[in-house]
Amino acid sequence: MHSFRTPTFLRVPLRLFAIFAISSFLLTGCTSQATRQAEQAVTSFYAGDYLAAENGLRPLADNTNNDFVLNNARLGSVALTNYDIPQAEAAFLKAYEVMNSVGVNNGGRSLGAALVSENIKVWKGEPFDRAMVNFYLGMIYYMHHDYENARAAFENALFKLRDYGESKDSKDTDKYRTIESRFVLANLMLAKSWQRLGRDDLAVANFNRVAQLRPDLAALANPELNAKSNFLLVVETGTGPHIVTDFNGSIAGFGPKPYQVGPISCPMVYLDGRSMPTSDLARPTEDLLALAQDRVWQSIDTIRTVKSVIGTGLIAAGAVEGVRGAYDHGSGQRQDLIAGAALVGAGLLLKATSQADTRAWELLPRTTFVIPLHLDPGAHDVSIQFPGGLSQTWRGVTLPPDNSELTLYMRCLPWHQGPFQWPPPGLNQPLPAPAPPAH
Amino acid sequence: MIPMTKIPLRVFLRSFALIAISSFLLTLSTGCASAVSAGTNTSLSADDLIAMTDKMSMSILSSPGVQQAIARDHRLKVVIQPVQNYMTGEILPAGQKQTFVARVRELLAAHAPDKFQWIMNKTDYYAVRAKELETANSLGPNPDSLQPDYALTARFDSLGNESSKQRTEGYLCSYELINLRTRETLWTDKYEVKKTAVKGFLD
Repeated sequence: MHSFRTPTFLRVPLRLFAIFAISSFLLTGCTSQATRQAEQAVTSFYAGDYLAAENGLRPLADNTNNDFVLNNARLGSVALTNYDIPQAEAAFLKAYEVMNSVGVNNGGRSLGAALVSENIKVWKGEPFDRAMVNFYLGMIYYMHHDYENARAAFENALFKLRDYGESKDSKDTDKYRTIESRFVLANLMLAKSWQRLGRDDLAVANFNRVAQLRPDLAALANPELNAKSNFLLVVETGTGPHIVTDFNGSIAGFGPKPYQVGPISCPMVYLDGRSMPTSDLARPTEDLLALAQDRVWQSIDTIRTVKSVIGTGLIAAGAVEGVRGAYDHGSGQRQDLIAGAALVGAGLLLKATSQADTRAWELLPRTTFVIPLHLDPGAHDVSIQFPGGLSQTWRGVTLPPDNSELTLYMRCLPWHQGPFQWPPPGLNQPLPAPAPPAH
Repeated sequence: MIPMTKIPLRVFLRSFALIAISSFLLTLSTGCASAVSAGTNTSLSADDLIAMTDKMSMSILSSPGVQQAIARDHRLKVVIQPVQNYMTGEILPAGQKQTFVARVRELLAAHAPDKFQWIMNKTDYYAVRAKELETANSLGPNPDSLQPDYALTARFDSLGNESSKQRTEGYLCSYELINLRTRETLWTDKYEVKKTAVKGFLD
């Protein structure tokens, strides 16, 4: 019987390989607790327990690790839904600042993402994630009548989408227009911001852009209608895209596809119990599920695919070597078997580290409705109702006597239907208008 | 004795192990860098704040027009307004809007306390009153009874360009001291800076 000894030339590489494999496993284990906590927070959000979701995400969002941007985006979503506006602004601003930075992943993170695990890189989101962070920031500033910053944020949402369309290898400049045309939400809000800033020329240009790109939104992009509006409903519904992998776990895409979940239902608006004629306004401005299908593959995906293919090749070569060893004799057999095992191990490791980065901002909606209305000043009860029973109600929404526009954000979820009382406790009220002189 | 046909395999395995362990060690040594400390961007920074406000405070004090006004009025009553953000695609949060003008005020207040009298702007004044006063009937002095004569304002504009390789942003930060009664611009100056951030592998 042969004693099974490792050949000298293989000892050092195999030991190093074992250390590498064990360390990789341990590293992965360290992050899983935070991942579980984040998943728990997401579950709490969809169960309607926003306080638990916020409390769960807040410590994660303070940790400046590779999930810093993601956890702040999540926290922003939860806080916004819960009308904790200062928290939402702070969280989205943190995400915005890192998203707007370059070189965040330089050095070890890039190498680690390419060779070890893509999860090592700082998550900066897909371009539609970045656009939505900017949209939310813009909406928060718009709610507070800070139209300068709202304009900047909406511009930045379009700016990011331009980057989205700009393939690193492609000379196709038309790609930019195609991508921008899918995010008219930012164009629309940019137009409204310019209008509130008194730049009607730029407002009209952006309204025209909306109507040009989406003729079905022409009524919504009417400058006069928006100028008269003193009540803006921003309604979000559905669930955004999530990452899907193939059987091998190596290629990431986004799902579900729009046709798999059906068309977007349009809501009815009720004011003080009476239905409002909003059928030409309450139309989806965008569909994130459709947008996500346009994702431009990045170089890291190519690396991951190549790693997976090489891993498969190594496993096959190891199997051949092992079979050859089984029919060999003496020291040759030992070397063949060990070499086969090493090849299979290397292949498995490569395939294991080629798994897709499945981190995603799970709290995004599928679509956003923007509904500008002109109502009488005073208190109103406002309801939104979707076919199928999903609804949300706010009571005592008080419109100011001046021409300023009150923005009401509604995230329609099954466990978040109200009725809610306006103003919500977490809303940072705008500063009071200057009082008349007292003396 | 190792057959010659096995040498490529040996070389391959050793190389693979070396590459794997090197990349792993490199990742360990640099991979834990904070997400907020590693990156750079083209935004206005704290260095710009200091350089800009130092320049503006010195420029105001050395302005012949301002010197004449001080000689005439003895002490200029000035209110400061937050920066107007006209930058392309760049957010300037409320705190930063205040900081870029507040530091000019602080520098002038420290170096020329006898030449300027600083008056709180109406928005801040009403915010403080709303927060601190118990009733609306005891509002204290009428803000109109203490009228500023001048307003220190700032407006930031930017022009950006982004490609797959880099992002470039040029800033024009204009400051003005305006006579509120005559609409005359008593003093104006600007701070210009151009910034470039080169994109990396994963940007």
